[in-house]
Amino acid sequence: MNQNTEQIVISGAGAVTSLGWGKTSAIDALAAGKTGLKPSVFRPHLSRALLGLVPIKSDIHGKSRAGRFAYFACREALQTACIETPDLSCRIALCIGSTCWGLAQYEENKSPDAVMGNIVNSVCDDALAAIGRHCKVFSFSNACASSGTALTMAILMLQQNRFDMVIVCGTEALNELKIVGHNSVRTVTGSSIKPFSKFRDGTALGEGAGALVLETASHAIARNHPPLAAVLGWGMSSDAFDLTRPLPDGDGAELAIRIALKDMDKTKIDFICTHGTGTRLNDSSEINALSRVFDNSSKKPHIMALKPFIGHTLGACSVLELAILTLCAADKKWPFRYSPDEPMEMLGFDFCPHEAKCHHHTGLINTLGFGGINTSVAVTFNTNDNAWSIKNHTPSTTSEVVINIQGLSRLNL
Amino acid sequence: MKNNSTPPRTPHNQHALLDLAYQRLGFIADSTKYMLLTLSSALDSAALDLRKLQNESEQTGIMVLTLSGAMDLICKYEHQLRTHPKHQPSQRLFIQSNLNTAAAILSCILKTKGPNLTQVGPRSSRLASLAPAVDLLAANRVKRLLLISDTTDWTNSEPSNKSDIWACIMDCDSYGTNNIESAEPLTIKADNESLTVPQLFEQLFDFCKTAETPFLKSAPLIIK
Repeated sequence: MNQNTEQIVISGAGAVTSLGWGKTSAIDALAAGKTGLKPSVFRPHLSRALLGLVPIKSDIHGKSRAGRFAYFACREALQTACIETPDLSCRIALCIGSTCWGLAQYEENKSPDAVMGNIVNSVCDDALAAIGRHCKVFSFSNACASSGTALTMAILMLQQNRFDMVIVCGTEALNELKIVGHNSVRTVTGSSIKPFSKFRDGTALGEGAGALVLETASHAIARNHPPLAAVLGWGMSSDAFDLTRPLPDGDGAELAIRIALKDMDKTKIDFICTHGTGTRLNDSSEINALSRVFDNSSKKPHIMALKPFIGHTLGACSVLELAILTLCAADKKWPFRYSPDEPMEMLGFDFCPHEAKCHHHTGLINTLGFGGINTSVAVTFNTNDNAWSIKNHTPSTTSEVVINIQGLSRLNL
Repeated sequence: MKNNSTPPRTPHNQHALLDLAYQRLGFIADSTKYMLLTLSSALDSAALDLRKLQNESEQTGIMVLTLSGAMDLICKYEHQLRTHPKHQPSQRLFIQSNLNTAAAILSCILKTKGPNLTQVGPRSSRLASLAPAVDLLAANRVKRLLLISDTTDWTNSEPSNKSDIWACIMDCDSYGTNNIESAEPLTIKADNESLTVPQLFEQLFDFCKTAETPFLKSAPLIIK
């Protein structure tokens, strides 16, 4: 672990997926290998895809579906962290990511006050209602890496001792624009989603929300709460290449992964929760990146993909998939093995073995978004056979940096 | 649209950047174009050319704070869906109408490989939104950040009357190398809730005018 900065731990997690509301439905269904994907109900003549839609549940607080998902996931994350309402003395923030926010409601209602500000704000307000007190809000919209960005920036701001605790949330509610749009750029499959298969032909969109309670180790120690996981490193990079296609050789993703692993022994990585969308370009780019990172490694980590079970939840996927894995590890039920019938050239990587044989504790969660935005986060789970204790670090002082504002310009419209 | 900024010299980057944008993307949203124009004059005044940015691409990040992202395109896309329900809407409209890709689009054009992040919605204009930028610099994750603040409301496909787009280059690496003796450092706390990002820029802009440095070369600013 990086000794130069405060250690960051994950104390709570919550999830809403097409498999159901809450951790129990997700963990049990994933362990049994069930999928939440069903044939599309949106414009069947244009959108031929399978979709992972969250079952309707109307008794949840929220102004939009994305807001209700966020509210539920944040409440569950706080509950698993044994927090009713964060203490007023706690320096707390909400980092939330989405691509569409409450846009589904805008499409449905055509309300005159459905301006962009409200579309974003209403979802943030719903997540804040779950937290139950005022806090700083950071609302990221970085394509499929939206919640990955929220997660990495939350870790950064905790490491810099700006906050004691950050609630990180990724939420996404599918809407017509998103579904038809992805169909127009031919990223969705007409059959089934098959990440890393020779015959992969696109992704399946899903919706849902994930939330995590992140806090500094010293804060977790002070409130005597055993964490579920610890963050070992994070990286973020840009392909600087194309608005939809990833770099074929995976250079951009490789940079993010290398930065995430720079302070640790990469042979400790047991598994990689890949972005694994099932598109031809994404999967080959990601495997190329991983093969270079683990080229000389004595042990290659196992590959896993959660999207065949819950769909590609776009801006929510990074935090949602990490939340699911954290909850699975805490419940000692690992997701069902995903492995395509005829895998593509995997460059020496194999898929995660089935639960009974699996003792995975330390892994990477990768996200590769449109526009070439890559995030990678390394975590280790706190399980009985991987028990570790958190160390009490002396918090550093809050970031202070002298910044030159070079060149200041303004355009008035 | 009127441009009140009156640049003191020909902004070379503006032409170069717009050309590059069209060359690399074929089409750019109005919302992105105005950000790009503002950023290009900031790059000009900081004497940063594209080659220098690309030489330090992994150490250069972009942060965009935007009220409504590419809402202009979302409105157009939505209109296409409504008026031509049986037709496949335009790919290019969809790709750039992701609300969110402002920073990613700029990174594709400028070829910067460091972190790029977009914060959206009304809260993005709060001063606290600068915290991730400050921390990225303080933690040495980047050497330089291109920062854009855009309060344009594109809800009706047209820019609102009251809108400001600001851009600056945040760079802690060159501190001490520029001539800053004449300027009193300004200290700002990112959790200051009485000031917004556009107001901060406004103050810096005025400060710069009174300091008789028509285009700011170096304003020492301490952000905590």
